[in-house]
Amino acid sequence: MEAVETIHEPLALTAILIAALPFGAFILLMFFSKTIGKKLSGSISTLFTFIAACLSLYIVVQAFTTEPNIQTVVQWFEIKGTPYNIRLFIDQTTALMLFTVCFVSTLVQLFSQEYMKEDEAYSKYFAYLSLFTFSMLGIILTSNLLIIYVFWELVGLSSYLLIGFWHHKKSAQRASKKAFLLNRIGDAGFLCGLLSLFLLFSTSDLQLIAQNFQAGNISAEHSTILFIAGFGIFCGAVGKSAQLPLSSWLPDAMEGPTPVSALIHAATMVAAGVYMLFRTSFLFTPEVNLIIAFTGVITAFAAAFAALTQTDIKKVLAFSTISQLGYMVSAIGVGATESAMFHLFTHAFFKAGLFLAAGAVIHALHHAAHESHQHFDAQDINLMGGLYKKLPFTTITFTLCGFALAGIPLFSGFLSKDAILAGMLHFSLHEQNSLLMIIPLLGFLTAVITSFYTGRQLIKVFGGKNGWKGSAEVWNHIHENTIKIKLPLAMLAGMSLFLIFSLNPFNAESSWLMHILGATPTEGEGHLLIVVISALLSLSGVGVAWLVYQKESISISKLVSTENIFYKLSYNFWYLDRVFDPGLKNILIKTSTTLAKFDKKWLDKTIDNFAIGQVVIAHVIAWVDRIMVDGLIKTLVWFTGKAGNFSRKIQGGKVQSYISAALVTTLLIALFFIFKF
Amino acid sequence: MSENILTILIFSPLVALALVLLLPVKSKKAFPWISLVITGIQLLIACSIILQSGDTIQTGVNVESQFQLIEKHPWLQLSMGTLGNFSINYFVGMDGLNSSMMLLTSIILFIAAISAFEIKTKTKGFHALFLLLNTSINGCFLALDFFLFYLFFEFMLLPMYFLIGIWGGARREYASIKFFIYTLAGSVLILIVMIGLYTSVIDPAATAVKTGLAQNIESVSDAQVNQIQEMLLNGTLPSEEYVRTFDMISMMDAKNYIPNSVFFKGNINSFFGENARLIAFLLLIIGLAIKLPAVPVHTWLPDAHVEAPTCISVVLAGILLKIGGYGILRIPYSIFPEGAIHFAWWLGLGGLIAIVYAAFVALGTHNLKKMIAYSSISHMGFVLLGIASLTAEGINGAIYQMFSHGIISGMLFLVAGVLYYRTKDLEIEHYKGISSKMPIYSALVTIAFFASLGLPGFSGFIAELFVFLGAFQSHEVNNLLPAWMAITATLGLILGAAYYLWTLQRMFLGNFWSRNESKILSDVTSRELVMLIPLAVISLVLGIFPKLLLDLFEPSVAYFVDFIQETGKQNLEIIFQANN
Amino acid sequence: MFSPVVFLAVSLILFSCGVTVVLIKKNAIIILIGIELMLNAANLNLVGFNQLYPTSQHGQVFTLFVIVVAAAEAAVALAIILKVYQFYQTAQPDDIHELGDK
Repeated sequence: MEAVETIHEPLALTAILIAALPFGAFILLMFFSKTIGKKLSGSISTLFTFIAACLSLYIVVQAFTTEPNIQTVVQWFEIKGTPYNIRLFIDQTTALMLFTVCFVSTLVQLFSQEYMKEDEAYSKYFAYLSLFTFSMLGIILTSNLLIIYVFWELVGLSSYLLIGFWHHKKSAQRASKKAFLLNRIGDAGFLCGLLSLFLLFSTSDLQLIAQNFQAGNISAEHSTILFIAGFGIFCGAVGKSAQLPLSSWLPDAMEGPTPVSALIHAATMVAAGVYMLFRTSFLFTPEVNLIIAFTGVITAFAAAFAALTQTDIKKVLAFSTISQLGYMVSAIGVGATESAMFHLFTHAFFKAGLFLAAGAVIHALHHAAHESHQHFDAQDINLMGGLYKKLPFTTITFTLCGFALAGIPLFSGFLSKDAILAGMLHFSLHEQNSLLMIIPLLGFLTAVITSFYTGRQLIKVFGGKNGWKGSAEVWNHIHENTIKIKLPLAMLAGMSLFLIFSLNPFNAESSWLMHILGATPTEGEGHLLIVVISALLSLSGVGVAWLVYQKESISISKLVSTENIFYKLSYNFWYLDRVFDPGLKNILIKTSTTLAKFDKKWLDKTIDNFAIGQVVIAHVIAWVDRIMVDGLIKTLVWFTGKAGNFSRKIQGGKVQSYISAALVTTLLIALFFIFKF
Repeated sequence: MSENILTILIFSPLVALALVLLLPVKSKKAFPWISLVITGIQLLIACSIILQSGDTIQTGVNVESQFQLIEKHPWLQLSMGTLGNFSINYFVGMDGLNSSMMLLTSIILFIAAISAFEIKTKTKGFHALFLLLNTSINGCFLALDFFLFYLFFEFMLLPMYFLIGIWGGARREYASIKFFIYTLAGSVLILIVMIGLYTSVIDPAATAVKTGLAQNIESVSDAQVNQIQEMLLNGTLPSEEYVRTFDMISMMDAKNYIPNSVFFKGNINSFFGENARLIAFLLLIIGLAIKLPAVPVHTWLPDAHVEAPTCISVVLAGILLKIGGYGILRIPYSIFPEGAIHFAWWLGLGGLIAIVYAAFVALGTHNLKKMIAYSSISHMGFVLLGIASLTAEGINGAIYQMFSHGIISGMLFLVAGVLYYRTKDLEIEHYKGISSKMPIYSALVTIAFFASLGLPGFSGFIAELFVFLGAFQSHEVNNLLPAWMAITATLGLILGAAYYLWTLQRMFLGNFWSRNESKILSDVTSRELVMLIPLAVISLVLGIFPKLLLDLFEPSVAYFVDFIQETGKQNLEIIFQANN
Repeated sequence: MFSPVVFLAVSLILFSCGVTVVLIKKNAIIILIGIELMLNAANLNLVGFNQLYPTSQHGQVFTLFVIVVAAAEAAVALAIILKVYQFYQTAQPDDIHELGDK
């Protein structure tokens, strides 16, 4: 493969090196883990990713100061004159994504060294993590949708391997298979979108497509194809970013180790969907945008609603991730694409921080249970409480990240969520359709619910009126985690504050990030109102949670009872899973068993019957041959026999009859001769 | 590079066959080694041919001078008075369409020869038949004379019948006779068309020699060929001088058809209302579709595959099925291109049904080998869809899929064979958690399954991508296939993931349990590794560097697509004019 | 002396008797006698015709031959009948039909 054109070659090579480093770690750890040894494997993987992170930081700096666009194009193959190229493309957003992925991956790997240190398949774990990092970087670095699709599926493979990491557990096996299958459904749609783009533009290179598109080369009869293109790409995002109706794999994916959830299912892989929507948003027709906006906001609401009643510490965060992704997706749909990306960046940090903090809690409780020889479900928040006394560091980091999630002012999450809500409101006010007001309405509602369940989780785990609800022996053995766990938590918590993103804690538009992403300043009139409203909503959400769970002055026992319809809807995520299993699964299995039976009993039997029919025909023909054809001969023979019999009687064996016969004959001959003359 | 390298490639197994027949039965150990050595030599020959021709593989298709390594020798020549002259040539050559198939054949036969070491009974007979099969398959791909092609095509059936029928599983007799008769029925249809073509086509060069226009075959010039063709058209060529031929390349040129013969284009002849040429196309397609196999004429495949011994399954799935696909490109498409355009919608539908139907059935089977057999049918559906689309991407994808599927299904059947060799039981429900006993094996199975379901990074993805591209663009480029066919075919991707992952989960993950407690499950031996790893590597390399394989046939396919479109459209006009 | 017609008539009667005896009688010896009768009838015929050609003696010479042959033939026939009787214990030709159809 030769390069077709390159801009800023050394930086392009650096970018390739960034991707190659985790891949190298993957190869080393898959095939040479025995020589490297268990302890070293984790360090190697982390080191490689750390170097990649540093290099990506260098690229970020370069992208912001001197070279805004780094590209190189390589030809992969050619069919009948149509080239299929791979384009490496880095602009400022890409550089930032690069850095985010590498940075979070490094932190997660550092965390994992401690978290997974007693696991047997330690080296394989890091190998898979490196494979994932490599695939994710592949998605970010290239600007060809085809190559993105390749890495998209590879990311799905890594996710499959990591979710099902503890594969002796049936639930983990099922979860990983479900994740891959639901993603595949989305990918089938993605492929259709890809095919449409190839049809329209003869290339999947987004840069070339953008140029072509701006030139307005789409004719009217291609509008359906354009719709399919947009919708197909959105399908891919629905699968990867766990939007409705393909959301149910994400909560189940919590079967994997917690650091995996942090990296893949919070910060990076699920964000790939949003990233891709951001990159391709210029292609979407208004209908597609509407679908995207509604899907996103409904998902956001449904998932937040489900998070209200979850009792597993990770499941709350999983639903929260779906919800936040819904925000991002919806923001793309309403046209606030920069806000979506902004939220993607802030979410990556605070959600990873939340997951890692949850992991720290689980890890500490596991150890405590182990040391006190007690059986204890380390993930059930109903058994926790008052942990601020034993795990103060974790409490602080969890709280900081949690506040960012809830959208409390002074935190990064507030800025990005505010930007999205502003975008939603702006969109629905601009369009004449009043039905569109549902979008910002649901958006604000979800914001309240988000802050409420965040507060609920914080209090249930770390606070609570009565403190620790588990057993006393376990309590005595709880102690804080080591530095390898604390350091990532601290860094991520730090990134959840507003400072990194904007000097003004209340206005997202002043953020340098928004500027980079391409935001244009909007009219400022309603903006202050939105800021105030969202601040109030988030604060009140947390406040109500405080009242309910800490002070217990509001009783929600009637709502929390398992008979309550809302509780059931929430806890079971709107029974969405039933659509797939047993719903779709049954249909699929029934169809396949029916078709298998049809194939065997009908199709195959037809052939067998054909053969049997042939044998029957053969027997009939044999009968005809025996009875009729041969019969004719037999009849002839019978006649001949009878004639013979008859003639034979003349030979009686009696001499005198012979003599008389001779005499008569002689007489006749004599008479004949006499009367002839 | 010797001029006769292709003949050496095709017939060298016969030399080994003689050796095998001469050796006494006692020397059991020698026979597998003989097969191995000869297939190894063939592999080296094939690789050297490919490497030497490399970038310059010519387009061929319908221009004889554009073929490589041609060998054309007269074989049977009879003069039959006013009926003309009867001529069969020994004509082999290589162009883009069959170069990749030749390579695939050598690779798969070599791997199968390694796998054949596990046959312990009646080894002399087995390897004799195996070598015969070897010759027939190679000959079938490289033959450019229709009679020769048909000869090798039929000749493949005989060794397969015995190989499945004697060394197979429990229901081997049923499976082998079903395979034989079913495929034979298809070949009869091909025979009908072949005879029809024979009566309709002359070989202009040989006719030139016969009429005395040229001295000998080599000195025939293009002008003389044109002259003969004109004379033919005008009716000034006396019928005693006709040299009829089975030469496929002559059949592709419209000017070689005797006026008023069965397949002459201007014919008003029709059978049951359809033009004779279109009927011929259909007959050929049906005959070859049985080999492909296409739904609904596929039911011989699951039985044949399940009952055949592992190495024969590998050959059956890896190469024999591809003869159907290659045959469709070489014969009906090249000789009756109007059929390709007229029936494209139906062929595409057939491919689509095969993809989805077979995937569903695979999901519903309980036997590992049967599931792999149905997944083979599903993958060959992609080939049919790609061919039907008549776009460069589509046909490139079809050929790529044939090669890729050959490699991957070889891997899949070997993987099934590993388990079968140990326990003789391939029911999916009888196993759980194999990965705890056989970790390396499970890793290889995972690679094989993911390669087969089309994970990017493996060759299967590239192939399926091309087929999708071709099928989707077809409604825009040549208006043959509607866009919904490609979109519906993506269902095959989802179902493929479903049945493979489900099997992986049921059989390989979790805690170990096996119905056959007594049988020991040892991890893969080095012989099995030697077979599996090269296949995995090939699939991976071709998934990352598709250009390596594409170079072999992309120029041919580009030319082929243009040729078929042009000639087909012209012919369709002539046909419909003649019928009005 | 007599006209040949008389000879012919007598020989005819004799011949018919001989034929009847041969065809009807059930004893082999009697059949022989019948044959002798026929032969003698033929002799008579010969002599009778000889009357028409007094100058030649062909008829009478022929008759002498016939007598000799008849004698020889009678001897052979008797020998055969004796042998047949020894084997089959019967002299009735009706009982000897091995060559006939069963």
